Amino acid sequence: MSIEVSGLSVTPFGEVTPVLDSLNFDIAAGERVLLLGPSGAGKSTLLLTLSGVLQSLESYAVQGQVRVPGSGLLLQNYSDASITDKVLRDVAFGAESAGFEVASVSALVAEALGRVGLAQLDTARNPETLSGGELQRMCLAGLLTLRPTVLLLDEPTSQLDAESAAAVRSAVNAYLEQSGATAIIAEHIFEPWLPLVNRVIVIGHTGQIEADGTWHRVQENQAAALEKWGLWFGQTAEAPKVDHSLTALVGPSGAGKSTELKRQLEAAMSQGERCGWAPQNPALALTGTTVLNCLTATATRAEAEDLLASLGLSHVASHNPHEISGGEQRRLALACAVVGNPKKLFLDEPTVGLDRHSWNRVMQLLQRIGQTGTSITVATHDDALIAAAGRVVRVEQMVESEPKNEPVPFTPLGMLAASAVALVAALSFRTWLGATVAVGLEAVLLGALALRHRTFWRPKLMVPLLIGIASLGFSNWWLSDAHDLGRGVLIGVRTAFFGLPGILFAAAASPSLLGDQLSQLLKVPARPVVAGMVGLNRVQRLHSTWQSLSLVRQVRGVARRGLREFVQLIGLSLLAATRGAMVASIAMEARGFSARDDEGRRIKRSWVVPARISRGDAWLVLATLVLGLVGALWR
Amino acid sequence: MSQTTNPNPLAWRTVDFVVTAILASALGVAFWGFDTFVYPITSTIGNIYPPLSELQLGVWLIPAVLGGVLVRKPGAALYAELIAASLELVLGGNPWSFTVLISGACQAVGVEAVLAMVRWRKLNLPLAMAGAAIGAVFEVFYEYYSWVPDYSLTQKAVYMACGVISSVVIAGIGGWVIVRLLGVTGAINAFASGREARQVARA
Repeated sequence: MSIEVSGLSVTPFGEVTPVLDSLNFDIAAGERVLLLGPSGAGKSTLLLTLSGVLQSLESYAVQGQVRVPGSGLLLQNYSDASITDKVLRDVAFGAESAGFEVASVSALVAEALGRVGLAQLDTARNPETLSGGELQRMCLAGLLTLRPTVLLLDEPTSQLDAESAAAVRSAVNAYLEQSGATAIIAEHIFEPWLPLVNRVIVIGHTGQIEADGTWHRVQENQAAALEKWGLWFGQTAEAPKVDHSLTALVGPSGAGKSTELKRQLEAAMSQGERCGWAPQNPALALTGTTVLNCLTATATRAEAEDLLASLGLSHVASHNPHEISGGEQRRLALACAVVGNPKKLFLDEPTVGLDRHSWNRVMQLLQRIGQTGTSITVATHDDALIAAAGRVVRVEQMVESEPKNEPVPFTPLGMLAASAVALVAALSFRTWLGATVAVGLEAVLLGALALRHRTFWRPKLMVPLLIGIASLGFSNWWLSDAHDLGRGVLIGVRTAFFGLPGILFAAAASPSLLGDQLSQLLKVPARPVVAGMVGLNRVQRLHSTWQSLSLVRQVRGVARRGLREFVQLIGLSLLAATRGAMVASIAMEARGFSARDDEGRRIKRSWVVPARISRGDAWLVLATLVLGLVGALWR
Repeated sequence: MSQTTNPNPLAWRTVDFVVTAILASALGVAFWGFDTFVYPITSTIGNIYPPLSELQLGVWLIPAVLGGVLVRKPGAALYAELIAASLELVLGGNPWSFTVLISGACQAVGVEAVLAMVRWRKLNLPLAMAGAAIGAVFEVFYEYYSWVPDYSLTQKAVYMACGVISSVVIAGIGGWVIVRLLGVTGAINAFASGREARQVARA
């Protein structure tokens, strides 16, 4: 089974110039291809098209023929590509979507984790606590469970330190050796991949194939072109030195370099220093509607244009900053940080995903800024950037302690059922005395539970409940005939009766467990449930996005005051959440989330974590029922 | 793995589910903020004349309108509203507990009813406002029964009027504007609604 591409052109919605222009190539089964091209040439777009995901987005015009046998796609942005709250669920996701039997899914997960060198990893951990290298290997393991005959890897190691990158490469190599699968790998720092590949395809600025053959031949025949596009300089490359003004924070992926950089930034800010910051995710720094007005918010047009020219971004000045390539965004975020001549610069991974020309431009800019007396601190794993620094500070690996969730005797569905029973019972309460007795007993019961399980002790959740009860009681008393106090008490107290079990749920329910129960026990269709779990689990991430956006605006000095800033941040957070959702969606689609079988029927999902209900659930529902009856039958 | 093709324009794609779920969750967080920090104050002030507090209703219908306008497929309004309500339930900090799911369903079914009349094909601002209005009517009838059984007929009429006005302005116009603004940025080009917003912005 080979890959066949003929006459492939891809044009983004609303654009005239195609990103990929009339590509024709075949790749034989078992070939390993390195995909090269300058930043912005359409490498990611090609890999998405080959995986079939791009076509499902409807936002690109795709012409021509593409035939690819069962492929697995690894994305550049692994933090958005991890989609669940447990390593086990994430790795099993593709196998579950394919409907494999549960027993075989568990075996496949263990085997795949072994293949990527993560056999010892605790599969109950939250992917967000993993280091970058572990996370990318976890995503790779998720692909391998499906035994893909084609591996599509989009900058799989560009965000990793040398050691983690080597671990990813050797995991890829081991799989290819053993399976004989075909591979297409896009990467800017490509030399370490050369021993693994036997063919190189070069895409140029215009989205056409510029060279195709063995590395040896491409290098021989196209040396000038490779140099022109900044892909390769042979042995002549010489890095500019920045020296004493540049401090590099180094350490393994996930050691806490970004956190330390942010801490230093906030310290400098609090001393009233003029600062600049480029966050690790460059998209968060891009506050404008065009590339140019990202800068003109705090600079004159001439200054902005100069800066764009020095970073090689003039050709995209009028583009939407969120629709340029990853490497271009990275440089624009840098421009946003340096605009306005700050005295202290804090740059998080400023050289990731850059071709050599772009890299040189960034270094020249840093050199120039360093000469003006600005101090520059970078968090980086780029050896050449580290070599240019006058001072290197090692950030040691932090052991991220995950808050352990204390086990509780109830499952989400059990707590939900108790709330439903409480609601039905409460609506049949007739006397204020009966209702008060029922609620009193309920409070005693829940108080005892909270003493036994600290998880249930949530005074903060009680406050809005109490205010709500008081308010509801008051309005019904005030409006009832002849100001009947008993009527007000009844309405208020019955709200308390079904509100209190809600606190149990809010304190202890895990969205993932609820999702398992809804789909396996109540047979709710799998796709809305799984997507819902993904959404609910992402809420934590929303908080850190909000903080980063807010910090960017403060550092740039574009933050407004009070309510207007609040509204701005809500809008920007929604937008950032939407962009993250697109990546998550692509990652899920690439793992067969909506796959159909050969007859066109949706494949029935399997579940690696079996759903269950507990004995505690039965007791909780029964107790609620008894208390409800006490309240309802009291006359 | 078979490739996903979409012969039926009303069938849900991966991106429909995921973007709706994540946006709705984000709105669920906004609900929580509103329930915890705003509602206790406004509802206390509202006690001057309690039916007026229904002027807040529209906040809770935003996800339904947004989901329907964004996705334009059967069930999108209901899905978005139920996800947002689930998050409200998971985060807690409000007096309603389990009933947020019932309210969510009432509101969204009202919105769905209006969208079904145009077969989810074309959704403009007047339709979004109409959907929000009918969603509010469904919700208020449910609240007559569950929350304000003792109001007089006049009070119930004022309550209904406040709910509908609030919903049309906050959820109908608000939900539609959010989709438009997201669309202009190009972030939702994968949706017909996003592409239309983009085209309007460029023209």
